[in-house]
Amino acid sequence: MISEEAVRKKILSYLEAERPLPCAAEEEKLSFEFLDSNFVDSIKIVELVTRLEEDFGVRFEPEDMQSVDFRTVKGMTGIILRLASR
Amino acid sequence: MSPSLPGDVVVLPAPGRRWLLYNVFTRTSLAVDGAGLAVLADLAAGGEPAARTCPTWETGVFGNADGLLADPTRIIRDARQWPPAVEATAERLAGRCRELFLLVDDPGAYRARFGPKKNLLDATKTGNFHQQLGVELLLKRRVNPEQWWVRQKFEDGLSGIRDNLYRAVQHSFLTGYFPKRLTPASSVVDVGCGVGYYTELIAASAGSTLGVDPNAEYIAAARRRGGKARYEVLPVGRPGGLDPIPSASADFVFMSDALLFYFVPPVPGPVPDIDLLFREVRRILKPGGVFISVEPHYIFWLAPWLGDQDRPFTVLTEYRRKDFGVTAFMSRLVQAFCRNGFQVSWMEELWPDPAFREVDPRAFHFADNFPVWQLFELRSA
Ligand SMILES: C[S@@+](CC[C@H](N)C(=O)[O-])C[C@H]1O[C@@H](n2cnc3c(N)ncnc32)[C@H](O)[C@@H]1O
Repeated sequence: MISEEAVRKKILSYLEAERPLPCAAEEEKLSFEFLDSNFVDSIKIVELVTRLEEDFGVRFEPEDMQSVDFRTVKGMTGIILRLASR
Repeated sequence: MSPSLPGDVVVLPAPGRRWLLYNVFTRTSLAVDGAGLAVLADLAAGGEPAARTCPTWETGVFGNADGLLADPTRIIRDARQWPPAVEATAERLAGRCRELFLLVDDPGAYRARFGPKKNLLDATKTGNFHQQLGVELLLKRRVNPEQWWVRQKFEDGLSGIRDNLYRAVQHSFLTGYFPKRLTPASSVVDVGCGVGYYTELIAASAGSTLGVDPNAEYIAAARRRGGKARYEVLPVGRPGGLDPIPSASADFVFMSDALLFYFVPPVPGPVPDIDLLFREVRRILKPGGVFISVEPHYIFWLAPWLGDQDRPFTVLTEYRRKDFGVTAFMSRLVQAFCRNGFQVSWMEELWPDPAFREVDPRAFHFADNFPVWQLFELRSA
């Protein structure tokens, strides 16, 4: 079983590899729209996707990736947990 | 409020008493039979649909996944290749038509979808051609766009050009053009040379040939071919990008399929400065030297291929205000030349080799009437 905590940590570690998200509180980080704020570019997005797929043995569908949930750490965590439980 | 069929939708006849609904802006489509067409008309009129269910056929395909010069229409041409019919309730048909923008509830919201995506995953906007291709390659097919670019144009090992419009139009034209235009005394710089295929075609007719490109992998591939030309990785498009090339050293500067990036960037971000590039091109040209530009045609490249195979027509959805297109419109390109002291000394539109008619009749007839590339020869004024 993958824990929610582990998924969140992993996503944040990739996102914040170069610089921290511009948020003070942890809760803010989880709902920060890192895609729409241009925090990551397309190349980084694809890297993030491949790494998470390898780490958690899931495969995102284009619909998952283009969904509103995919734009925040919280939402992305939910998608990964859902795919991993199948 | 009842949904409406946007004015962007055309209905095309299809074999077997079927009708293909095609949104010319989104290039999405679905085929239905007469009953399905009536259901949509009933819904748009705000009434109860007469038929309960009707068959639908998914006719969409991202044709450009096969290549930048492949059929851009996004319709599976051969009706025998359509997936089996899906029997749909009126509700389901309406739902699918909404997804495909063949039926819209809110015309304002529908119109607002057209425009650039903020990023690769932005599904609220349709995005331009580069972005749509990016979604297809990176999210759906999971392939590296740079390697894809090489594969869609060249045969394995860069031994030749694939038998598509690249070969039938661009390559066949340049094969005849370089020997006429260049002599063993000519020195030529190929700017944005990619993997060096045309650079070697130039080198076969010219005295000295240099290919430059910002992509180190492409330059490495060009060098591996072991041809006559020299290659350098240079940050073309950035300030000082061509600095290592001496002033007044080239009789010709050649550029193919690269100027378009100076108008619409291939990935979201700033466009490189074309004025800066052209100043550099003028600097490295000898007095009386010629800048040769071969670019995707500013009107017809990526226009849908409609009509009968041997009697094509097209529908233009934009020219000046580009939501989808990625080339400059005519005056924008020509003014960029003129603004930087170039004079047009020759211009032509490129046509396919007649032998291509047998290989791909639809592509041949389209490109034979609606040019997909244009060439400019420019002199320093
Ligand atoms: C579509 S390819 C064309 C390559 C080659 N000229 C041909 O016709 O086969 C575009 C090339 O432009 C290069 N490029 C990228 N940015 C550029 C820029 N700002 N100026 C010139 N070329 C650029 C790319 O690395 C790529 O090799």
